[in-house]
Amino acid sequence: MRIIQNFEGVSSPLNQELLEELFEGFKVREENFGKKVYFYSPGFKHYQVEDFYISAGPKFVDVSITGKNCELMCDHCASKILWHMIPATTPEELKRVGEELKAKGVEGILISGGSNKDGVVELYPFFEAIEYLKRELGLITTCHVGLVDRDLAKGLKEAGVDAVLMDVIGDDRTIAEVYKLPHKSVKDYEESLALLKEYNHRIVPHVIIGLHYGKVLGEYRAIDMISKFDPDGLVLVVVMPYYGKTRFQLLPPPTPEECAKVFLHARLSLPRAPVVIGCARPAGPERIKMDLYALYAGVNGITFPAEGILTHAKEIGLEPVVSPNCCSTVVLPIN
Amino acid sequence: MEKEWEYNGCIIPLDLYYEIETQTWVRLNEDGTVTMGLTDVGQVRAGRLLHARIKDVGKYIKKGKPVASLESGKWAGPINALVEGEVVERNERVLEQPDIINYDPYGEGWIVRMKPADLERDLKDLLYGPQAIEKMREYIDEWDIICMRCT
Repeated sequence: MRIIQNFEGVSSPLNQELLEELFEGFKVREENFGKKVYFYSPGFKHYQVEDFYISAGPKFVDVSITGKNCELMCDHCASKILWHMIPATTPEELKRVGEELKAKGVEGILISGGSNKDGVVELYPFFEAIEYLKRELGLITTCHVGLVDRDLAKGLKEAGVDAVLMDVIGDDRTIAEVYKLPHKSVKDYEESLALLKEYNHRIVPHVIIGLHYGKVLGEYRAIDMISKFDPDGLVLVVVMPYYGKTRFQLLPPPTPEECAKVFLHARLSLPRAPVVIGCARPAGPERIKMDLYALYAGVNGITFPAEGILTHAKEIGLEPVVSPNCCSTVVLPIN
Repeated sequence: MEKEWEYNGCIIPLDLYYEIETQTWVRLNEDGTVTMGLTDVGQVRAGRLLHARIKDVGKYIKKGKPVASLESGKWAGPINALVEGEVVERNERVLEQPDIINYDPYGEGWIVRMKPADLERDLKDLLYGPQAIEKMREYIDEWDIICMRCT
């Protein structure tokens, strides 16, 4: 396969040396997964570029059990990620929302919410409602959690969730400064992963590249730690400064080249688990570059691919599969 | 004569041609070119715009094909050419700061200026004046839109 020299819409030249380095990941992906590559467009956003659009109604949506509220109000997000989610702040409301969504043709639901001051998404009162969504309504049900204790791991398992998603941070300073959790550390994230595995959850950890005010700091350590727990999949996202608090908004996100190196590290650390690029990453010309590097680094999927990426995937011999689901469902036998 | 119509806070200038489905507008300029942009309703539905791409000057765009693309946190989509023709000017300010469209969709937030190939033909598909107002009202009611401008 010939590695690409340039690409329409990219604002600065592609780093050829890096592309060749990334190709190692491409080969790993091909050996373990063949030529299929997934392109996701979950229902919380209308997304249409020239070569990628899913015109059917939403099939997979996000629900927040805290509405727009988050006690942590981390610097990088300030709860804005919750704003587009459907609020369901009581178990009864969650059941009703699930029924309404099911009636509208939605097939899957990501249950998320803001954290308390200990970094926990308080899902405890919702176990029975989650079980109802899963067992009675037959919805694909995933939960995006914060830190996890034994009760949460057990309760979610008994509720029958399909997969548990969790942001994993690999640096104590980031946990203290960005997440406002000075009393927590990387060890707490490690223990959470261990508990989820102990209860036989399908786990799909997320790593936010550039979380430390746009700098790459704990990402490699986070991936190394995650890889010890045999995850079912890994989602990589990139910090979006404009989502954050005012002083964070003007900071540049990590460069596509910095992100690409993290993509490759993830691919090589987890050669047999799907590695996908999630929906959260900055818009703009840099995204085209980032997505191109991701393809060459051998990721299994990209959410909301930049313009031209799906076409390019075909040009380099890959077989795109378009999905209306959340990228974390890559670990489920549904796509 | 009124220069604009307002409904649920949404401003609709009366000297523009509209495609209601895509919420885009066209202004006829004295030099024979046309200017295109997103309506007030369109900017509200999209939300605060974060990224814009506009085709290069000199590109020939067929009617209905993308001449630009815009992206917000909850919406990303094309701006299709309402008239066929050549791109003669891009709004560089919108490229640098796309949310100008949110503040001033008919003024500073224009997107592209084009030299039309067959203006008379293409204008037949667009709505103007009372017809535009009627369809815009239906659209605003159907989607229950209340317009707000970021400041």
